[in-house]
Amino acid sequence: MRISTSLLFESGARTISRQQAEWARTQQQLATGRRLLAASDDPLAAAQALRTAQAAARADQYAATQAAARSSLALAESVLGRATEVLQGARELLVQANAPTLTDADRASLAVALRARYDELLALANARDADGQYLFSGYRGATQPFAETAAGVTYAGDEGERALAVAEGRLLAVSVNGAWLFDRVPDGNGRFSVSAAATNTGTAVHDGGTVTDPAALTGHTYRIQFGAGTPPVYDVVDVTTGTTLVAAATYTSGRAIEFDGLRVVLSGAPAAGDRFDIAPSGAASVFDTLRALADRLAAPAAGPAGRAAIANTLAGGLQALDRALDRVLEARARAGAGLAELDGLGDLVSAEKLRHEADGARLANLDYAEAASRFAAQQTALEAAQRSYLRVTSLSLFDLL
Amino acid sequence: MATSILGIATSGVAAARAGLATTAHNIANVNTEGFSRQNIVQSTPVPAYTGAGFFGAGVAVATVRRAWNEVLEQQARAADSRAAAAAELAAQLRALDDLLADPQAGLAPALDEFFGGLNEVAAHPADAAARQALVSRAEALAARFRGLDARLDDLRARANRQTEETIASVNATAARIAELNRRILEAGSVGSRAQPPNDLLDARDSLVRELGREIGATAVAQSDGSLNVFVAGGQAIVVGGNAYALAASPDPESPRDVAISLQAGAAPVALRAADFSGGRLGALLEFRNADLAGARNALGRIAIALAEQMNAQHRLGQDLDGAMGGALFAAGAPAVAARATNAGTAQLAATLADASALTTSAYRVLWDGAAWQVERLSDRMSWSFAALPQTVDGVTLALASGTPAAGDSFRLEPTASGAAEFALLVRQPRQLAAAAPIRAATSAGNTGSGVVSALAVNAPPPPDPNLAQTVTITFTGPNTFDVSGTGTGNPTGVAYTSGAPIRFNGWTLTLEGAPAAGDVFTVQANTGAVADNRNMLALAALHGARGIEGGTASYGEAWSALVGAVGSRAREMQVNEQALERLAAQAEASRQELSGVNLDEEAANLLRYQQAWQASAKALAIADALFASLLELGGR
Repeated sequence: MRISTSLLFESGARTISRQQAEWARTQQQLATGRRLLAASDDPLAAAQALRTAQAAARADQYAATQAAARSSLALAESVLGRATEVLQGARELLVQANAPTLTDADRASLAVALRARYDELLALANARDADGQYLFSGYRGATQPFAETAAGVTYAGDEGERALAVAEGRLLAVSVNGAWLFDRVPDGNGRFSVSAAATNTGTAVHDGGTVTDPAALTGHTYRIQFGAGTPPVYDVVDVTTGTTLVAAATYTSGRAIEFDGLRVVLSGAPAAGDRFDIAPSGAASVFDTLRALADRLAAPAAGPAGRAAIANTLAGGLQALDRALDRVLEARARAGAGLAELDGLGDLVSAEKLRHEADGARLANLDYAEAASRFAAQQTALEAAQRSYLRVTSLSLFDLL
Repeated sequence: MATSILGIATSGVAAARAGLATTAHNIANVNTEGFSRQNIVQSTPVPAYTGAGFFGAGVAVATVRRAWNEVLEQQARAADSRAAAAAELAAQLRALDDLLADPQAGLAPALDEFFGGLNEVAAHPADAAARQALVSRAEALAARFRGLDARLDDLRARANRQTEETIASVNATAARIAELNRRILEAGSVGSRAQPPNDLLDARDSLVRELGREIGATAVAQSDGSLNVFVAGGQAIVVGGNAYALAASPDPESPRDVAISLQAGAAPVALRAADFSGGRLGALLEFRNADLAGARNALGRIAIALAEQMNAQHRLGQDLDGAMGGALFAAGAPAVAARATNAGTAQLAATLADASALTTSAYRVLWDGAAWQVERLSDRMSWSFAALPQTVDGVTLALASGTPAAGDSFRLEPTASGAAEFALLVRQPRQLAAAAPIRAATSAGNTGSGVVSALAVNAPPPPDPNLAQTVTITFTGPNTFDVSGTGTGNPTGVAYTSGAPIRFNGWTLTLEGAPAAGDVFTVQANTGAVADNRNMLALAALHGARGIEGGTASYGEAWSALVGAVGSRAREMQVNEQALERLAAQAEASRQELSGVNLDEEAANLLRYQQAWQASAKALAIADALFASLLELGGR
């Protein structure tokens, strides 16, 4: 085989330049720490690395959203915690006020204390978050939800509940609307409420009533009407249908009156014409309830009948406060559950992010040990090529002529 | 016989001198590209007859021959041409790959940032800073789309410029080949015994090879010694002493690109990319028409799908001022252009029908006189329609004006301008529609257990004009309700199935639990809802939504698919380039094995001819001595 002289030079130079290019590439990999300098180095890995980077970015976003959700829920939780204390304080005041030995002055001072609880609860209900948005006004973040008017406290928010996307396909509610929480609290025992007529002159006091058979409840309005006699007799009338359920039954203080799945215990001495009304639970604002109770305590009680009227009002008030507490506690429980879920999700998201980053690193980052040994090997090969090139090209017959 | 010795010795000296000259010529041209080693062919002249038999009459130089083989030359030329094409394509693709694959400068980080901004606003809907950040990030995303497209356009312009430069160089080379053809004809016809003009032949072969590298040429030797050269599937570019020029002109189908035609005869012949086999020109056209256009279309498709889907959701929302959201982004619309040479007056219009059905291909629309033929250029899939409008791959084609003539052709580019015209339309942070425009309310006096589980604005936009009208739904029993409100027609006694959606005025209300008679639900305008983030959540949820490629890819996935596709094509072409380069090197080595100059061999030849010269000179000297002896004899 003939070798042409120019080919000898050319192919030698080409080999050296190719080896130099590979050597320089390895050097660039070592310098940047990246295995993939261009997508063409490993197209599949490059596309995968992009996808894992995107997944890691999404995990980051979920982490940020979770942080926002956590701070919202933690704030709501702490405000609701304080609201719980306020309502419990109010409840204790009502229990104190029910003591028969209290004078009008004692009750008036309790009314002042109750009023203070009312003010504090109202302030809590108008709490704002770090962005200056009201916590309990639904979607109307810039609208103060609860305002005192002559007619009572009105709710200016809406029923919206804000949610955040804290994980793939998981919307977590991070706000509670004030309508549900404070403005529309059921009264009575949650199913029905008992009230004494304002015209009662006897000393009969009701216990608030209990449900004995939920399936038998009708949702009707009833009336217990006392007649004359010793002992007194009473009728139970279903006002909704106009039928008399119990006619002229003999009253015994402290004995339960039961019908249609409910039970009411009356104690004390009713007068003829006294009346107790039983109605399905309606919705009442906890602020109105508190204010009405404070007003009632502040007013003097006239004789045993007046004290009975106060006792009846307080019995209804206690029930209403318990319902309000139920709402606040439920909201706290929800916030707590949300926080617990966020803790779990946070771990999940950070683990996922780590996994994606590790995947991305595995795909795109350089194995330094391998690259360093490759670098050394390429250097050796390049040196060998250069030395042999020199030798081969330095030989010429012309030197000998 | 003494004069004969002198003559023989003289012929020997002359032959050796010719040998030395040829060797020196070889040595001088050791680095001349395309040079073929030459040697002299010696022969004996007709011997002189004597009574004692034939006496040799010395030596004659018959010809100077170049060591050359047509097969080896053609192999080297073809391999060179293919290697040049592969190298050009690989170089162009490497530039595209570098552009797209940069992890910081690509689309992916801008997309992630933008969706991060949406999530921030979802978390703090009323926060002016979060809203401003989202506007900035959306601006950055729009700039990234446009920037990437501009750099792709730079690559396209560069490919067009290189095409024009290559055409100029092809024309010059072809002209020089024709010129050499003429000179070879003249040189070969001098004298009765024609001798090959070796150096001219070498120069011509070298030029043909150069032409092959640029355009992929085949050469056919003619009996008169000239060489005809053909390019692009048999178009003659050099015939004898004539060369035909290539011309670059705007492509009639896409006027921004350069089309190539051959100016042979009266009408120029258009050369298409597919006609070229080998050569840089074919590679440039292939890169520009397939790879670059594909990448640009893919980027445009992401832009169009993102704008379309974001806008659809944004327009269902309500901004901080209580107004309905507008379009968030603008993206380039599908474009359809009539070919410049159409005979009819028809103009087509293309509108986007479904962004998720878009492909990255261009389409050719042809009116054949009876039907519209729509052909997808990427895979030659075609449709035939008797009349327009028709929707193909998410684009609706309609006849805008005029009438077509049979054979009229149109080019449809659904996504080519998508990214170039991508822009943010909402500049005011307050105009970001984070809230939903309606909300549901339950009446305080409701006695049933029914609560609102969901209230959504029906997609797609535009929203119902009565969307925000207050609508009251009053249950008259557990399974019937009355409706009152503008736009509802105030129906009464509507049957209700527990959990079934209730739809009026462009919204859908879903209840949970059992409503009781007398329960009232109200749907009304969501006034003052600065803390509502429902629409922003819906926008942010589009991050992972698969709204591209028939619902199989999200925006990010479509981008990584593009990067991966370009990467693997570049990879393929790099491997191809290396293989073809090796083949070309081998073919060149084979050619050089025969034709190349080896200096050691030439040194040996120098010695050989020097010795031959010296020996013949010695013979001359002896003849001279003999002659002198004779003279001395006469002088005595």
